[in-house]
Formats: sequence, structure tokens, C-alpha cells
Amino acid sequence: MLGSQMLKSQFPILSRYINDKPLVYLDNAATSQKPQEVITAISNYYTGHNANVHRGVHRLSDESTAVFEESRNTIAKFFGADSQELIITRNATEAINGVAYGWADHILKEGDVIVTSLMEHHANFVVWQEVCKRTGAKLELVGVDENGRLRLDELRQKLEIFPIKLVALVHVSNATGTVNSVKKILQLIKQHQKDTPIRLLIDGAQSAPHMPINFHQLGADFYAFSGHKMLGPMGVGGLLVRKELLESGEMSPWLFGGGMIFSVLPAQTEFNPDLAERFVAGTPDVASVVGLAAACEYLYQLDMRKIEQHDRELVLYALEKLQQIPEIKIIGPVKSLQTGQQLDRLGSVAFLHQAVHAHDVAQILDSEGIAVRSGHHCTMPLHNYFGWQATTRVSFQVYTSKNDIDSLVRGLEKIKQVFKS
Amino acid sequence: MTDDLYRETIITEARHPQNYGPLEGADITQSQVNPSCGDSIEVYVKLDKEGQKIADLGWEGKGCVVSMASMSFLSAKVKGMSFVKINQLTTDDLKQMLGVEEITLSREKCMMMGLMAIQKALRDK
Repeated sequence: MLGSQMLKSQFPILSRYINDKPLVYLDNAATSQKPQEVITAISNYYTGHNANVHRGVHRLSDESTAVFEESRNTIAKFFGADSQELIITRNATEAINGVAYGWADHILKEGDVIVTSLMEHHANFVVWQEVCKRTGAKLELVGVDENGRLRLDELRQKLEIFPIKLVALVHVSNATGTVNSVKKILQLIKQHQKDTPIRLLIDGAQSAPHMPINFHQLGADFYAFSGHKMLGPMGVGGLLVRKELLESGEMSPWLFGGGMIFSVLPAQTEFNPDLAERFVAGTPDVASVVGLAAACEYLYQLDMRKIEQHDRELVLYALEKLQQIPEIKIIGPVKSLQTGQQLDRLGSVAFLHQAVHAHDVAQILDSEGIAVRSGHHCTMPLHNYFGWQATTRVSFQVYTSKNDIDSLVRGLEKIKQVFKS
Repeated sequence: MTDDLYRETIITEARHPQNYGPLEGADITQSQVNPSCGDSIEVYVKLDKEGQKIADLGWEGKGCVVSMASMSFLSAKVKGMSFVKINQLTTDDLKQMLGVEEITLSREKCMMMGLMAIQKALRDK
């Protein structure tokens, strides 16, 4: 386990008291808290270096450009990608929308098929429904089994039957914590790929904070992530795109204006051949990019392999403790597929309380200073499929400790007192 | 605030709601969903002869203690009430009905769901 107590002290907000109780923050899948390093990096940028990037020749502009480029490099390196493969976006949602506008809209034709799944966040679902409206493509959904695992057999069937151009799947589910095997998904795609390539988009919003990601080893064509879920500021995230797709123009810019151009003439415009600039239309949020780079540096220092281990221990501990409470039913995988194998679950544990609505659970936990999420977690298709009206989710970060989970269990006992159930 | 919200009267009201169930011969049925949590309420309204008041009301719903208790209290209050008066009901009236002094923004939506359903029903009649 990571030294969570020491880490907690590096996150100023975690010293807050809520309802006279020390804050126990277990809503990290919604957004993580920020270490002092990130806050300082943002503040230092505005205090010392702020100017527009790639625009001026004066000193500040030069410094700002240098710090922006350096930050982009740090972020790309953190994900094992080339700096040119990183398109900065506001968040994972915008990154996925980028694939829709910059790739799908000009690649997909009527009758083509996009595959996504029942376990997706709305960000990787609604976007494709909209693409289908615009292009005439069809959306096919892969189902889940009773434990909330992706039905790979269904994916295989669909790959056999349909003219699929894009498979868009979540890496780690924000509702059930299920980890999808990108390796197995890719194997299936490669087995069925004929003349036209099948592109793979991975929604990494919940994997980036909890496991090491090496974009080149992962093998996906697109990988979307949000900075704010991985200790960075809100309003910045990214889309990683395999270089080949950028160079060939298969992935093209979807936002236009200043910065992304090479030459602008009355009749036509040529886009910037520099891939790093071609996708930056208008002034970027430099301070947030600097903040995200500081977060990547912070996570790198802690070591993502250790962070994953830490997270796995928290998941197992939470499962063990929560399963002892008779009123609680865990959703998602609780046992590994095969003995001796790691449980394919990361980041969070969500549950149903048999007698009490999720909002009431969350509100009573809040009175004990414990922050959790209640609702459908932007996964309505999954909740509807299982008939869950609302679930309560606890989710983890580097500063989460087993003590926090003990506090949660004590908080859940209070629910019993209040509801006398 | 929580202690206020989870008083026994509120929990009891939510567990044993008044006017629960569909109403036979209803003139209007209307449903309301809270998209942020998936909670839902369906109201069945019978109008008086002049069509200016609620003569009778039934409802069904799935939701938290706040939305269920609030709708239950409200269902008793609006019977015989004129549309004009119903449309004038505010957050403060509902807080008073529940006996709470303050409520967070997110829970205000739960509290207001029933009233929204009734007001929508009268608008669309």
C-alpha cells in the first residue's frame, strides 16, 4: 500500500472538515482532488509566465510556449506516446467527440457499423448515436454478463456478421469497475479484419488514473482520458491518436481557426503540417496543461504500478467489508474469472442497498463527512438493463486508505440506526 | 441538515405514503423524472366539476425518502386546492411541509419532483 496518510497531507482540501467530521473523500471516479504541486504549477504559470503561445517573439510568449511544449511532452511521455500523438482536449468526453467529428464524420458511410457496449459511460454512447444520425451508420451494442463483464462472445459474433469500422469500448467501467482486456478485444478485431481496417477507440477516463498506460503497447487507435480524474485540473484532458492516422489525414482537425493553419488564402486554407499544432485551434488552456503535466509527474514519481497495486488492495478490502453487510449487494465482478487470476476490477466499488435509496445512503454518509456518489453514474443503459434505479459508488485514489473504508462501514451502520432497518 | 431531513416523521411518511396508487377515472396522468438520478413519479388527477380545482389525486413513484415524503404530504395538501394556488406553491412551501429549514441544491430537486409533476399535469390538461 502507498503511504496514504503522508500523501493526504499533500492534498490541501483533504484537511477539510464536513459536518464537523474529517472529510473522507470517496468520489474519485467523479473527480480526484489535487496535490499542492498541481495547484502551485498552475499558480506559478499565471504569476510568472503567462502570455499567448506560438504567437509573439517577446520573452513571456517564448517562456509560455516553452512551458506549454514541455508540458505536452511530459503528458505524452506519461502515456508512452509521442508528443505529436497527443491532442489536448477539455476532457475524455471532448476527446471522444473529436473522434466523431475528426474521424467518423468523413470516414463512415451509410451501412457501416460502429460497435459499442451496454457498459459505456454516456460519453462513449450518445456520441455514437449522434454519429449514426449524421452518417447513416448503424450502432451495434455488445452486452454484459450477470457480473457486468463484457460479452466477448457477442463481440466476436458482431465482428463476424457486420461491416464494422469502429469498435469503441470503455477500458475500466465507472459503474462496475470492470476492466476490459484490450488485448483480447484487439485479438478479436485482428482475427476478423479484412480489407478495410477496424479502428479501436478506448475510453480511458477510469483507467488512466489507476493503471500504467503505454499507448503504443496498448495497440488502440484512439485513447481518450480526462486530466481531472488523475489529479490534474478540470477542463483539460486528451486524445491519443496513432501517428499513422494523423499523418495520412484519416484523423483530421475538427476545430478550425488560428494556430492550426499553415496558410490562409481567400479561397482556401492549408492546415498546419506540424501535427502538434494542427489540432490546436485558438488559444489553448496553457495553465491547465501545465497543471496536468505536474499531475503526470506526481503520478510518475509514485509509480503507476504501485498505484495499481494500491488500488487493487483497496478494491479487495472494500469488497470484503461491504459483503459482510447483509443489506448490501455489490454490483460488478467480485470474484476473478479463474482461480489465481487477478480480479478484473479497478477504481471503485458500487452497491445497492436493499432497504434504502442510494440518495439517502449518500446523504447520511455525508453527515458523517463521507463523500460518495449516488445515481446512475452516467450509465443509464447499464442501470436499465439490470433494473437498478440508482446505486451508491465509492471510488479510490492514491490518498485513499483502508481507514477510509472502515469509516465508510461505520457510516453505513448509521443508516441502520436512522432507518431502523 | 441531515438530521433534519431524516426525522422519523419524514421516514414514516415515505414508507407509508398517503394517496398512493393509481386513481380510477383520472382526468389527467402525468409523469416526472429526475434525470440526474432516475427517480420517477406518476400522478393521477381528477378535476372538480368546474375544472378549476383538484378533486382527487393519486400517485406512484420510485425514489428517495425526500421525493417520496414530499409527494405524499403534497398529495394531501392539494386536494380541493385551486389551480391558481397550486401554481403559486414554492420551494419554501414544500420545505415547510417537510419541516426542514434548509435543503441542498441537489436534494431540492428530489423535494420538488412531485410538485413539478402536478404543475405539469395542470399545464398540459
